[in-house]
Amino acid sequence: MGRVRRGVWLAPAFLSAFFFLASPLSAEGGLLNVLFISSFEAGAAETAEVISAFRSEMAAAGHRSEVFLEALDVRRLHLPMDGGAHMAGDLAERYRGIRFDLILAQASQAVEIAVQYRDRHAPGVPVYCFDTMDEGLVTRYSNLDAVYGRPLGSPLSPTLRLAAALFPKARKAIFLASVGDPGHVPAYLDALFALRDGYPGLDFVPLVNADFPTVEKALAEAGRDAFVLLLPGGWVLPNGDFLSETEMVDRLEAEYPLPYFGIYASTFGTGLVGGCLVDRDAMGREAGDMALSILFDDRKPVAWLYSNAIVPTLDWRALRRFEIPSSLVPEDAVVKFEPPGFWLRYQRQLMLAGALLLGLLFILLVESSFRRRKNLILAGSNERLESTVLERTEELRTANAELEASNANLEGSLRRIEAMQERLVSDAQDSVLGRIALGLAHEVNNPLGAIQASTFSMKTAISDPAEGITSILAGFDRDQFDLFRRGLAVMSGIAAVLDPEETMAREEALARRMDGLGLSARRSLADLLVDSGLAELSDEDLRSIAREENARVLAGLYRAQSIERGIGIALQATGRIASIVESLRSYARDSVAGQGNSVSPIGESLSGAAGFFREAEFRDIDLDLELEEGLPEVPVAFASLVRVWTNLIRNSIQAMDRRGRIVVRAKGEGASVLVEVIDEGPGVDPALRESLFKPFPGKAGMESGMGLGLSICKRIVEGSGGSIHHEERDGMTVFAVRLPAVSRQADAGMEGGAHA
Amino acid sequence: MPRKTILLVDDDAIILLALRQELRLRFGEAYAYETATSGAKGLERAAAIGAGGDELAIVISDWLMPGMNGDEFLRKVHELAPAAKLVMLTAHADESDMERLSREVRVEAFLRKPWAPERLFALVGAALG
Repeated sequence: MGRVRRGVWLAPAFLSAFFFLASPLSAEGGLLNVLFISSFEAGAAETAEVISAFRSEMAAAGHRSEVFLEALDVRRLHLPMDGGAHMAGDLAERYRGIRFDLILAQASQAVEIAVQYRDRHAPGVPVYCFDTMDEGLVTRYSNLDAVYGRPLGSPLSPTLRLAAALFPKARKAIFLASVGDPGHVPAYLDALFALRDGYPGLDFVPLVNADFPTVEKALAEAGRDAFVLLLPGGWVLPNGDFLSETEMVDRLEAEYPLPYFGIYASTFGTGLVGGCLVDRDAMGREAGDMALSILFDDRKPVAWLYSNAIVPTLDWRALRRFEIPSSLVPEDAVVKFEPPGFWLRYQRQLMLAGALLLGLLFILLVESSFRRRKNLILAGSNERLESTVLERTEELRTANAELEASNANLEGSLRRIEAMQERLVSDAQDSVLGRIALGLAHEVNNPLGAIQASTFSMKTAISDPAEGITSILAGFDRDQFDLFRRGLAVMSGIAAVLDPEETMAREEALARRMDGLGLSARRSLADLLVDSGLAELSDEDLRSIAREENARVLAGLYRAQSIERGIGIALQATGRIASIVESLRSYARDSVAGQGNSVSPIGESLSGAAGFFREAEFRDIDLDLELEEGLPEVPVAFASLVRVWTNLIRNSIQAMDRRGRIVVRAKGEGASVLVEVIDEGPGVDPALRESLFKPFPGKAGMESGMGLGLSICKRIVEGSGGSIHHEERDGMTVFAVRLPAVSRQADAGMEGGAHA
Repeated sequence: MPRKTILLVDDDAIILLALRQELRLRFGEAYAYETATSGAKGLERAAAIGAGGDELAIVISDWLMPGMNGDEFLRKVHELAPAAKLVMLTAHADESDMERLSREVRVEAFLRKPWAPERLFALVGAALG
């Protein structure tokens, strides 16, 4: 009967679960935990690029790595520094229990934080520093044990070279810089003035940590023969507000239409003419390479070795705006935003097609992830789990947030339904509409409750700071990880624990088995194991998981099971809501659709309906059709007629708890036909008899719980001039339908009339 | 040492699953968790918990169930284990029925489905003492 349907809004959860369990990883060797402290934004493309290049470099050498990104809020970087001490404390709190093998530090401030964190909270862990322009920092830390790195060749010099090449007539170069640590300003100015000899015709105007009016004044006075370098980007205004490089360009460029150059990829596409961007892929690969030599080679120490790959980059539109001839563009420069080509012309169409494709892909992925998930685990893909669990947790977390948002929406709708319902009920206590609204709220609240609870549980299981699966996994040693993996492999799904009695039987069986193994048969442990889907654990694993020191492994497995079960619950519950909506829809359809002039053969409609109940799931139902010869036709549409019979037969099946005999008997009686559906079930609860044919006569005893079936039957039958009633006869339950027969003469007469 | 036990009764199996999971993730093994799909089975469980020397700390029951309804079940379980805290968790309940029940036995709370986890945790936490 298709009770489990796929709710589309659940899709992100399944998708993530799919990645969670199926992400490919081919490398061998242990897992390296790497903390990456970065001044990049967490979601920025460049961050992902560096991390992915780093991981693939490591993987190529046979080392799997898990990178924990600590993206420093760039605003915080501009606060007065205390050498990173306060932030090192935050990190210690956040990563308690995680043992890092290496710390990567990108940008000057990150270096300070990393070294502080390492010295206070992670002694001995090597720190690799990169992407810093600060020579002073390099000198300061070069002599420390296990601090490695290389100074980034400052983008200052190549950016200036680029700007001077494009604007040969410029007389003034304005340098806007916001340097977080005032101690770094002299180093910046030294670096700047060291370049002056190379540009005798240029007047250098450095504005380091200047306030905004000073900047505006300088720009206003610059005239047209000037260009502006934002290095490093970002600006703290005297009132403490922070302007990103992009915001600065937006704001300044409108007032002072000078050529601006910067260093952040994200600023491209605004008013920036160009700048020297760091090749993030090269940076990540170099970091991977360095990490390998720090961790595994004898080449230590490899302090402050390389220079960096810097790519001069230009915006094609800005070149046109300033009418720069292409002969001035340096050969090694990359020009972005080329003239409109195919893409720009067909942008809309392409995007639409892309979106459609993505949607399709999404649906396919959800579908296949669900089917393949179990197989993947059993097929020995466990290896993959270990390395991806932590990383995918983040994706699950996002999915969770979406789930919760959907829940909130659902709940909002429900509140409105309830409000409406209360009004309706007071208006007409027994009206059809009131009953429907009441029944609806009732039927929807149950699955909604289950969805809400299971979503909340999934969230807890994943991301609780102390008890979430993330922090639990981080504390495992090798043996515990292996035990965890074997646990996942035997884990059974939601169906196995649906029935409390079945659960109890399993607990008892497991407790006996543990007794036999000489384990102190703690019933509570057996209960927790069964609730974690671990009844099938091998004897040996049972012994180890019962040990006190492996309590966390069991806790981890319970959380893994909770995530899977949570998804299962939400899936079932949404399926149920979907079928409720479907019943309502068919109720509405039968209410409005008239029967017209349809005429249907009653015998065929009965055989057709009976055909629905020949499936394996009805194997314990004995359904007999007793049809008289030569049954007439009746004035009801065929589909509606079949619906009446299937509703009645389904009710009987449910009343008998899916086991027993049903007789469907049909015979002509004068000008009408009598059809009886007879079952040997316990009969209709006397309390319900009076309202039996009304919508939602009461919840009790209804299996798939809609309560609209009989009222739909009544509408169809009475709409065709027939009648329906219920009786208890000789211990049997009988639903009798009487319909007017369509006589042959009347038929012929109608046809004759039509021809006339 | 007697174990404090939470008994959950609902004719809807996924509610039982979701509830137990939510509570277990919050309270861990501080409680034992028992479930039943009808009032009659719930009473059997309650009796077995007492007979096994454990303490029935809190009972959370649905209202509308086939056979024995939640109000009747809570009355009977109160006779069986007077110290147990009682909570009604219901998709829809008639106000007058709720009042009538409250006059007969002390019901800690009437929670509506869907329920707020914090509210549930507070009630159960209080019963744990």
